[in-house]
Amino acid sequence: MTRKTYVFARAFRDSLPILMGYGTMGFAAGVVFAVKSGSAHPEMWSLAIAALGFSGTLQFVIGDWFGEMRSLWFVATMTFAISFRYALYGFALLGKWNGIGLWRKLFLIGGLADENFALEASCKLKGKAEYIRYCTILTSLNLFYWVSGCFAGALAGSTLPIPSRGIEFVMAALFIAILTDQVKDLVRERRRK
Amino acid sequence: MSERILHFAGIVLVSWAVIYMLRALPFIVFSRSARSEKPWLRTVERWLSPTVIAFLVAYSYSGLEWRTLWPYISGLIVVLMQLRFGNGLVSILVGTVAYMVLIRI
Repeated sequence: MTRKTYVFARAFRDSLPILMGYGTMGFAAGVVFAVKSGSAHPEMWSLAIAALGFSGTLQFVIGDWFGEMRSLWFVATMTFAISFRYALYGFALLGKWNGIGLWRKLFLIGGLADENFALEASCKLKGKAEYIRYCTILTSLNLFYWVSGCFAGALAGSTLPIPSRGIEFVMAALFIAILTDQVKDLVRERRRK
Repeated sequence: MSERILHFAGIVLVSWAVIYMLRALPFIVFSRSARSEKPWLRTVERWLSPTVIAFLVAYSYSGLEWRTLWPYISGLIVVLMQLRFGNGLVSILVGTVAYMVLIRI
């Protein structure tokens, strides 16, 4: 296996839990949007919002704003409030992303959703080029999962999603696994001092 | 092109712009400064990521049946699996299946 294939395989493997999470969450958010937005083509709007915003919290609430025809000031302040955590992610990645080309950086910044951040911040690939490659592949895959889920959910519209109660734990499990590794590293670092 | 559709497009663009600006903020603020000269920033980097992820754990629990014991038992299973085997995918799968089984009891 070449290094390029290895990096792809690793990004793909890491994206699998997110495929489950984004697939179901995106589908659910799409259904909610279709019910609440009152637009003629909810699937197209859902797709556009998913591709641009790439944010689960936004996807779940924006249907309400459509339905209520909220003012753009309201939209701006509410988006700011529910998305403020995103401003913290970049700080943790400043070092790792130093020197990335402009366009790729713009793409990766747009892709800084919770799950992408968590995986990119904890990824331990040594080479810079490989790490950047990993981030790009991971972001592309996850964006694809998310957009597909949101599109399909909105298309299914008022039809209720297939009961898969409890699958949402996959996101919590992902964060817990990452946190466990990070705390382990911090403890090890402390002991060495 | 009705006014309604224009307003919808406005909502999408405004929310996108706000989110993008928030995500880009750290890169704009620290674009020119030499990071290595700021040891405090390295400390922030080291601690910020686990702190934010701890918040994300709490945040994702708010969407679960957090008033029952099941999410905590499943969470503990993930931690133990991760400490013992260190394979993220396996820990996540086992924990999720455990949760899905437990909430059906």
